[in-house]
Amino acid sequence: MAATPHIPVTVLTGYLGAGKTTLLNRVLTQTHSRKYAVIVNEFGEIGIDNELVVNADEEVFEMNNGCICCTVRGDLIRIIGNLLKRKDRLEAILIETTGLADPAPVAQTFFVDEEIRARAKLDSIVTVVDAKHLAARLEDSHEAAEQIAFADTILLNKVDLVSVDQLGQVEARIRAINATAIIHRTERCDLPVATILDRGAFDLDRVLAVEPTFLTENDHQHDDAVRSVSLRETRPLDPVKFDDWMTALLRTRGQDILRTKGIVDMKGSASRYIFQAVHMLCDSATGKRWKPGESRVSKLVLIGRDLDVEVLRKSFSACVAT
Amino acid sequence: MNDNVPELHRTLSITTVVEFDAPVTGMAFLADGTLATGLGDGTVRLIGAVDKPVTVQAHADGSAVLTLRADPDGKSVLTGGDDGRLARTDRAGTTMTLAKFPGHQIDVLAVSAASGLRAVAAGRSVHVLDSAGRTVASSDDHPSTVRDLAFNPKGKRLAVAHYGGATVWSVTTFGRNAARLKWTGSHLRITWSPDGSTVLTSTQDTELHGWRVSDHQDMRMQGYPTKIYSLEWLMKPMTLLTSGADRVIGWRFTDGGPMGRPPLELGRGMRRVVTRVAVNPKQPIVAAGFDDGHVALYSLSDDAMIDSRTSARDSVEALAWSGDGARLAAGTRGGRIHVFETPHQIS
Repeated sequence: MAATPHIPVTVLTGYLGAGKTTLLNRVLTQTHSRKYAVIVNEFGEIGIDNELVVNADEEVFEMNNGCICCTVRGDLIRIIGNLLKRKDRLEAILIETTGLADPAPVAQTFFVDEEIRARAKLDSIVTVVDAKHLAARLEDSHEAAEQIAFADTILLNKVDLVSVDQLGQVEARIRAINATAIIHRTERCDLPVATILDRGAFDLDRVLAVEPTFLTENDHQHDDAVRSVSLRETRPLDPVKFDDWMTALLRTRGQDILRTKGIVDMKGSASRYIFQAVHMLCDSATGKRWKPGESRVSKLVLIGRDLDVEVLRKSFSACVAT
Repeated sequence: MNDNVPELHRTLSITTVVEFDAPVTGMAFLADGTLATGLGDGTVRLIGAVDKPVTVQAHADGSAVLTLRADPDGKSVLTGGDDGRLARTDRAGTTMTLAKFPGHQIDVLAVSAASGLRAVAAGRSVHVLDSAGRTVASSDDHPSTVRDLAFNPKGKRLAVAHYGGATVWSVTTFGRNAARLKWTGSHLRITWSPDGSTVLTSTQDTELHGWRVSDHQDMRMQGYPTKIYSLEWLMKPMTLLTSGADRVIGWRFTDGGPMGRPPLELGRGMRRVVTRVAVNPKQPIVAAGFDDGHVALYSLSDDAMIDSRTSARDSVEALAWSGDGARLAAGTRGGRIHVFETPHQIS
């Protein structure tokens, strides 16, 4: 059988009132065809009567696979499995999650179900945030920080309601939590749908295509519990040491580490080793070959809670090949 | 097509091959021998013995039929679609909508020939309909979206699969008095043993779980590499036949089984996965459909393969026997259906 391309799935998160409904309505009006499916939470705030919309149950369950943080959205497996039975191939699937939802189970669903994994792929996580109220949201809910932490793309919405200075502060705050996400500044979520659908942000080849913003301790004006740690190393790493370290790190700290992305120069390999993880579940592959004369740098970004930069830096350096 | 089987043992002859341009999602024979096929384009196709195939747009254009069951009346099929509709289509091609659940994919149906009842799920709610299509009972008292339904052999009780196990209702006290059968995980398919003693589910964790209805005692069968979509019964000796492995796995409910006893393994050694099984209604024979399009028959009296044929190159998604056990229909994800004839008593 000829391999059919995977259907890209975009996950849309964001706090109540940030502008998700506006964005969904834009998607629905810009994409009239049944080649798109939009999955919304049936008890959620989105009241859209549209034939493209499918209602989902946001309830999660725990896999019996020994992974203690591995919760999965079973109803998504059902709904996507059903969408794949249609004669006409879907071009994209968009999943809306409610304001208080943790994006992790949605992402994990695409790692654990073999049938879904064979035919659909997580394309990117898009988070809509309200430029005016983000600071307050970060104070009063941990979900707001987690939704930013998980994002590949962030729509910094309602930029017309804040001053240029305030906008700069909000953006710095977002960057401290998530150093790698692409940020789009919007008013009323006004941007072409193509900017958020089928981006390939979860493609391992494109991991770290965006140069992470390197942070120093001084950047942290706010003590956000969730933040990014960027690590780099110019000496080649030992594959066994690195694998042992990463496996142990994700096993012991996987509940606190929300996302991990890395491109690594392994000793003895002519190509990049690339990987990413959502909590404890990770995916790895061989990436592009290093060009002759290219400076080989291993780069790692961890986004999570209570990360000790010095401890991580030391243990990462200990993976250098001898 | 299959070089391993000596010509003498070829008992499956292909009588009909039809190619549709949409995935096959369900199949059933009506009492008069008409084959009804549900497709991923929202249509039901009726193939009778003499007339040309009839196409019925039972669901919205652009939607998909997600599940298809022969109605207890023997003259029609019930279908659920991703247009949120439950439809009934008779052999003449007349179709009507029995119920609408906007925004829901209707992928779960159960019927009982014994009581004439039908049941349908939409989200967390379950509705029981009588033979006229009127709702006689409803409840949404389930912890998550309902994944499957099964009537007990008498058609008086209904088992509901969901997260964390199953709920068993009596039709007369539906929505008021439930027995909760508990087991961690997401339960996908549910079946009731032919003697009414046991409810079994298949799970997202690729296991089988069972509960004795009388005292809720658990049973657990593991070792499947993929999810189990077919749970089918041989009446005597009472045996549960399943898909989900590289061979048909059968569990004998005799002599204290199935716990602690090795399962039957039919067709071992094949590098392909059984996607569907169907038990012949007249003889101890099970048909298996594979993920590479193969269809095989196994005798349950001597556990031997009778025949194996390739019907296509893609996954078998539906298998159905005619009521007289003489014909077997297989339908694939690619939209190809094959009808095989078994002209005489095989075993």
